[in-house]
Amino acid sequence: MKITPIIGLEVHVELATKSKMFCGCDASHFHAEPNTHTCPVCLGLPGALPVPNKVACEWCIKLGLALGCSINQETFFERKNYFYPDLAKSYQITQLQKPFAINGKITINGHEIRINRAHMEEDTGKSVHVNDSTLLDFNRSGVPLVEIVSGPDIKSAEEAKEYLNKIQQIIRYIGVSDADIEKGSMRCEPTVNLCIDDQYYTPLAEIKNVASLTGVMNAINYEIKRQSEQFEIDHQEKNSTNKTTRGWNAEKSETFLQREKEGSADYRYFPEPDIPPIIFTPEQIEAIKATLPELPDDKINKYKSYGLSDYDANQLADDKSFSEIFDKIVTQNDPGYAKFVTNLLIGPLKTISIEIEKINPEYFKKLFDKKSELSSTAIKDIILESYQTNQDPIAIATQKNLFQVSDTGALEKIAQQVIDANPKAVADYQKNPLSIGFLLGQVMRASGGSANPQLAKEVLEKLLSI
Amino acid sequence: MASQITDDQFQHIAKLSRLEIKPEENFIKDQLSQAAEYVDVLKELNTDNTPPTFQVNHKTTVLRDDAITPSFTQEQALSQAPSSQNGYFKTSATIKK
Repeated sequence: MKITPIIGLEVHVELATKSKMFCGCDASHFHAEPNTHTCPVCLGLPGALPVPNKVACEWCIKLGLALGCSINQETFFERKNYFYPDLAKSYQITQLQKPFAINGKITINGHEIRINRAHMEEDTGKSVHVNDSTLLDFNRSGVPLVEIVSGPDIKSAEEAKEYLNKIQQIIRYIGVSDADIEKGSMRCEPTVNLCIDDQYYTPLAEIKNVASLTGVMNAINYEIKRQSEQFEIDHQEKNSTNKTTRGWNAEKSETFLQREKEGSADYRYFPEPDIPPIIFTPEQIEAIKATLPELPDDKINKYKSYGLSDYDANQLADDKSFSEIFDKIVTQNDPGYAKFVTNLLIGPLKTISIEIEKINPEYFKKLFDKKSELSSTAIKDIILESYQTNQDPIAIATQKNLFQVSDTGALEKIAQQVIDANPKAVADYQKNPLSIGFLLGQVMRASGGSANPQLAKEVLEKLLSI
Repeated sequence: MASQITDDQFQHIAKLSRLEIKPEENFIKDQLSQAAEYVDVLKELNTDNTPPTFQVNHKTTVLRDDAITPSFTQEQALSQAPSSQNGYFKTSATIKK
């Protein structure tokens, strides 16, 4: 049985605006006392009128642009009706027919994943389940939420993880949310089904309550296994009515049937009469586009053009502030330099927290130009000290006598003394040239560690061959 | 053209509305059918070339700046709640444990 998983992801991101989506209540709800950030609008009290947050709309467009989407100039909000205690109005204000952003894509390892839409909506309240009742906190009710819907283009749990990492990276680059999965400011709902033997499609299952990246992967893998086993038993294929919603139980590591999914018609979507349509002119959209920073993919391509490997380029681009430090030091393709700086940033400098203001690009360049005269250990020590004390690395190297002795005459003198003092090691070497290590060690020691090891070895070999 | 609501549709609508319909209340189904019939009158109009009207006040792009305004206190927020506990609204359990 040939199994091809078909996975789509819905990602919800809470925008980091100061106030909520449709009212002026404080949008920060993490660690706030329950029900202290509410008003008639976000409590759904009769007569309250919602007014959309301008910054949230602009950020939704900005995020859409960063995901390669087209922007609908004219949009409007709609009501999605359903009953649930965390939804005080019994409808959610969202976008159905005219989302802010449509038809984008992102690329993962050369595989294109379509972004169907990124639309603006509002978050619900938070439920706390205790004994025989449910407690509700509406601080989160009405917090701006962008829903990003991918095409069903993801092929594995691993790829889902990479997709989420990429989305998270883009969101953090443009700074519209901290996109923290553990904190709940980024949430993910995979929809999974399988194509069996290239002709049968199993019923769709949407998975809820996944609270971590590992959870997403485990839930997808569980669902792939469950659906293939189920198909072998009942051969049931998907149709327009058998989509289900399944919850993820992280403790048991399994999904369970939550409810039969309400069909789109059951939500009785209709245009929100309290909010007039929203128009962004092409000039306004261009102005938002102009605020986009260089995005991760652009950075990665730039770094590769500097001669860096995929791995190094990704490491640097992974975190925006980290890549900005690199960009301050390396501004053009200079053979070997990008790799030299990368090794320092990912190596010794990664162990301390560096501030971009304290970085002196000139020091890196100076050290690079002298790197053939310094051991790799010395380079690491020098760059750390140079950063911490803001001293010229060459001055540090000179002061600490770290330049390697590359003067052949001086090395020959030392090597000869070592040879004369170690007749047994010399005899060993004559039998087995691989045992040169001992003599080399003695030369390094006699030079106080300052000998250039490569040169010292050559000098020894020359003297021993006479 | 009568839009007679079927028993299944009636049950489904009741479920979506979270209403419990007792057998003696089944007459509501016919009332609902009559209301739906009334809406059928609108079908007589040809609206093929009429753009949908969502708004009648012709306003567009009414937005607010992202600024925090004062909220209710916790006491005010909970003052209309039939039941509350430790600063939360309290309702019957939504999930079975």
